[in-house]
Amino acid sequence: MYNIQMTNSFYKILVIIIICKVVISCQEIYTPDDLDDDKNILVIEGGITNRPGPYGVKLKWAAPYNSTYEIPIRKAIVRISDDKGNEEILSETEPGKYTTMSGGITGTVGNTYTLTVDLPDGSQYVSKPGTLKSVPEISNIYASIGLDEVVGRTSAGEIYISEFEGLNVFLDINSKSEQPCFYRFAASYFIQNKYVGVTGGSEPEQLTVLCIEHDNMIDLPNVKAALYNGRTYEVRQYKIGFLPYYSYNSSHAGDTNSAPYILDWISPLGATSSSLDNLSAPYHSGWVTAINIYSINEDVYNYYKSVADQLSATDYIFDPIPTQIESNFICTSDSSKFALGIFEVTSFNSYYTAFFWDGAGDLQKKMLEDYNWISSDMCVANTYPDYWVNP
Amino acid sequence: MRAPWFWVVFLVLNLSLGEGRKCYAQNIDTMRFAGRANNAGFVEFIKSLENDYSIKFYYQNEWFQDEEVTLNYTDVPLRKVIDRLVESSPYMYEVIQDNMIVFWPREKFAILTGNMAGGKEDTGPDVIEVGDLSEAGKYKEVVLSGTVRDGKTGEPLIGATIQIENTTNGVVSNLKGDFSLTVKPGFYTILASNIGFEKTSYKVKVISNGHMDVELFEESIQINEVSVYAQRADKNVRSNQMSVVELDAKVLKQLPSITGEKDIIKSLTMLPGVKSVGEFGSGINVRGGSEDQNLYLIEGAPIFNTSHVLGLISVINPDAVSSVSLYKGHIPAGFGERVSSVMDVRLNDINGEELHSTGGIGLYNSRLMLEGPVIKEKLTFKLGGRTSYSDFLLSRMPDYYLQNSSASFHDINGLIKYKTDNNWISLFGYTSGDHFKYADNMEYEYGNTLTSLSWGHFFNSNLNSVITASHSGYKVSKDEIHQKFEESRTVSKVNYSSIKSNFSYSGLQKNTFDGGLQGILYKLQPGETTPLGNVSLITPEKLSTEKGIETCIYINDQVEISRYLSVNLGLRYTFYAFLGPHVQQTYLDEYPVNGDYANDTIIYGKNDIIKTYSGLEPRISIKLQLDDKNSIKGSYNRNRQYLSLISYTAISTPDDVWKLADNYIKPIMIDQFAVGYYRNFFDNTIETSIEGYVKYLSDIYDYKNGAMIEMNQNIETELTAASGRNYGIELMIKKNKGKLDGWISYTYSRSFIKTIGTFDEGKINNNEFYPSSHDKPNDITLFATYHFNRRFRVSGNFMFSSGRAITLPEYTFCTGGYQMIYYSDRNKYRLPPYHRFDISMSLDESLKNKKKWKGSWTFSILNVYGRKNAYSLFYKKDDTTGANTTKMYSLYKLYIIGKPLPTLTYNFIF
Repeated sequence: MYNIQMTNSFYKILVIIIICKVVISCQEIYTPDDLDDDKNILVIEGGITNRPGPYGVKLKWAAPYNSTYEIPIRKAIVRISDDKGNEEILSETEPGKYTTMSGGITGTVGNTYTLTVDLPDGSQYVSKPGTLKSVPEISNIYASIGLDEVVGRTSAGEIYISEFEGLNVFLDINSKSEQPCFYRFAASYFIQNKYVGVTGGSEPEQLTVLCIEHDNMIDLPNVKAALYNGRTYEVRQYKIGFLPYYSYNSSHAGDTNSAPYILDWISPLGATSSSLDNLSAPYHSGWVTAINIYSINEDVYNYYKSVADQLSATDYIFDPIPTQIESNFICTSDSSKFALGIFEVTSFNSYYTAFFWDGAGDLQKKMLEDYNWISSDMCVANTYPDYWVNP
Repeated sequence: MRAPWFWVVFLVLNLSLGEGRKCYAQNIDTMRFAGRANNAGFVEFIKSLENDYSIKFYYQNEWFQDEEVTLNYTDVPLRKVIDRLVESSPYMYEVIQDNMIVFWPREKFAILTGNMAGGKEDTGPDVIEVGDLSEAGKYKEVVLSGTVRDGKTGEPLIGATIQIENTTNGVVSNLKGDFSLTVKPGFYTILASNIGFEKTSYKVKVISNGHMDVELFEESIQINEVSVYAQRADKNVRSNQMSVVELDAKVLKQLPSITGEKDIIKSLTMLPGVKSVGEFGSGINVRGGSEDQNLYLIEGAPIFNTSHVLGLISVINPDAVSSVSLYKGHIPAGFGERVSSVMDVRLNDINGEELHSTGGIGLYNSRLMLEGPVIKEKLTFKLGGRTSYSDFLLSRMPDYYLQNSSASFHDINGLIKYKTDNNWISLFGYTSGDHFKYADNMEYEYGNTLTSLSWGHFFNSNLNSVITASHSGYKVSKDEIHQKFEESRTVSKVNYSSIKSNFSYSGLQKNTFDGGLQGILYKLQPGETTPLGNVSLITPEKLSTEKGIETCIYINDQVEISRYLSVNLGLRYTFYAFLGPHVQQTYLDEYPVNGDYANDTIIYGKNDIIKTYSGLEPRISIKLQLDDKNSIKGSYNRNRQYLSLISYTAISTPDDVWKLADNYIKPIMIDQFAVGYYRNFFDNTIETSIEGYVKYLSDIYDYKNGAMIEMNQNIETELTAASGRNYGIELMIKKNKGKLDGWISYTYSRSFIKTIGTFDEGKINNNEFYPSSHDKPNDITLFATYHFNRRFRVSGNFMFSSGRAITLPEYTFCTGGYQMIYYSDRNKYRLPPYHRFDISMSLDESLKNKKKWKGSWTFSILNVYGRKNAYSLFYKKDDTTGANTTKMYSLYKLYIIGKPLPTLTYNFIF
């Protein structure tokens, strides 16, 4: 009986919290004062690949945090050598930029390479030896329709989420190796947009505008360690990026952002700004992706992973305490000195893949061999260019 | 064997009651004496008096057999002759019924008549007689022991002050409510007080060693006007224990807390020497120690994760708590296992008279607790629980991923207690569960399970024992659900079992002993990963289990050397063994401990002894009682810790890994020295104290740069050995009563770490001392409550502290098209200072005893002036710059509560 009374009373009272106004938390840019940033810290960036040279190495001093000006290091002696006795001293072709000669040392699969840097002050830095791995191969690249969410923040600091329709792009790799494999990826794409309209003027003509817009599929260093399937190491259904139906910056010709851009390309054809009013919404005819896959050593994998971790640090409550990005250099002349950066010994392969809609509206894929990649945005009118897929 | 003089007394009493009476017609005062004696035997002389006069003497022959009498009187009253006989002797006499003369020692006579050595005679009916009459006069000093109990529930009261009026002699009741005072036999007025209870006085007649029960009653029951901060006895001055924080649930009730929710652990951070990372994040840092260096005991069972919702609220249901004791220094020898502090939470104050309930509705949870008798005052129970009901707060967090996350929790606690005259048994159970889904990336579940069974036995008034068997389990499950083919579940577990027996003896005049034994079995599963779903490529992986035993023996002696000087001597010996089964990677000597220098893997069988550690842990404290208002205390303690939490985040998370000491990870050891001065003013209205301490830590560990902690079989390769040095000074001024009460505290403290690695990879900041991540040098708290009347009060608290030490970017550089940063030496910089002002208004429940339902309201505003206190700094892609801008990344400050946060809460009791 007592319990019954208690329960009834309890529910009568279940009401009682009133939250007048809850405004919890936010974030804002923080500018630290009085940083100790007056030391010279060497940054080395270089590598050697399975492709013919020349190969480059950049030397510079890191910039203070509140600055972005990096001072190149000149008159250093930079050497690349391998375990087979080959060695080449690089020439300084630009301030702080050192390059091998054409026809000079060439990356060979199976060889182990070392970079040595002697600075004018007498200090010497040597990279950890890295073996050039066999050329990686992607077993399959494919896509499926999906959504991508982009988190943004208004000038007032409010979070908003934009949702884009498009394709998720995946790849599979079967290394056929029983040894651990590590990969790095670089991927970009362009989107094909087709506009139909008429030129301006007294004698309007039919106008077809074909535009491509580039973007990166990956913003951050993207590395992946293959997993062991019991026989070999493989990567399966790894999402490499997303292809939006429309470019993030323009959805159709009437957009104020994209109109001047298109007009720049079609004005030589006699089109005027009024022509834009007659343009159709873009017909989205497909994407072409360029994916570079690099087979890397574990130290390079760890380096890029730490770089990605650092760059992807968001306002996660539980992000790790920041740690230094380790380079694969040591200073042989003075153990108290160190260098930042990486000497990457890698073999790589490039894959070009087109995704487009066929006449039935189905998604199709086309692997492009020896494709002439266009690396800049452009529009052409009335004629399908060579790089255009599925004219 | 009773003393001979007892029979004399017995006879006297019988005579006085008319039993065995002989009739003597004459009165001694009318008799006169004339005669002479020269070295006559005393006995012979008085026998001659018996023959000559109608009187009778009662005495023990042995008292006077060697005595002689020399006198010469011509005509004097007989009484004068008898006076002459006892003059300058240790005996005196009493005339009963005119002609019976009873001799006895003066000392015994004094006891029976009230003219005793100590105190002033009081023979009123309310005088409590303590001791054995047959032992009256046997001792010059005796021990008055007793137990302080809640007069309503009968439960022992911890920390109650017992003081002899108008003297410096006073003590504080221990964990069982027991106390003992050394006094001369006599009459005294004993003053007993405790927070929230009415101060009570007892008139006592102390004859010999003896026991008395002291009962205190809650103020709301006994008095009309209530000051919640009841007059507090000068416990801080008189207690032998230093560096301790003791909170009663009634005190905690007064504190404004985040989102209107009472929170015991977070409330402790308002006191000197106790700090936290911020509004979010679990655990506390005590005197510069890390979070895992605190032992949280609930009814004797340790809890391994003290936070719900990753730190928004602690796992201890405040409604269930009877008392909290936090030992920051001079940890009693009965406690070990951790090096920085012990928080002893007790739930055992159960209302044994009638069933009643408390509860409330919080911002994200509801709570309800029932307690009462099953068999009145014999078998009692307490059962409580909390559960969350919304993701309300998460949806308002600044983090997109948190906004799209979900969190829920529950906890249930129960205690059942059975007691007889000399025994009590209690069974405690606790379980908690947390679920936390972090966007579409990962899902956590973690929970604690605690049980303890205790048996207490009172052998006699001076000797008692408590035996406690406890078990604690902690389990974390983490699901990675981001990539379909890489979905996995990782589970880690901690299992802890302990049996502890403790004996207390207070039968000696100046010593009170505690001693005991404890055995602990640790079983850890650091991690086991299994694939989720049918298509996951994740390979099942199970880290090698860890097992260890810790045994200890300890003794503690509280020595009252004098009224002004007391010493507490404790000694604890611990032995620890790391046991198989275990797979241990070994490394080349003279090389860094990392995978490059691994030379072997050893597989140990079940219960193989892999590594042992042992050592003494002395604990000493001294109290110098200058007078009844001043005391100086000093202490030293050494503690060892065999189980640590490996973390590489500023805030403890479920990803952190519990790790037993092994071949490469040594147990943490700490040596702490502390000294304090305590002074009270205005009849204990104002308490002041200043404490200083220095702590030396050895064999602590920090993580190497780029450490990978999770699912790492060889976690020793990611850690580097270090030593630590913490020191500080803590000041407190507290006003205990009046319309305005509260406190001001200031702490200056530092916490430093120094790695001791001989190889570059193990050197952090070039092996020089650097601040730990919870180093906050300055900390000020001001808390005040104004009581407008007995039910309505307004409280405010202001907190200021230095920002914690952090690592900041010093340089930037671009490689591969990415802008990256080079960080400073570890913890070289500091977050901006933290300060906040909160205010709350409370309307307490009705004080009418007969009213069944009592409700209370609290309206509070957290962060009144909207300070955006930095919780953390992080580095991320700048939203306002595009890809073509050179500087793509910026440093951001995250703050948790950036604007005033008002809440209204209702709590009830019935």
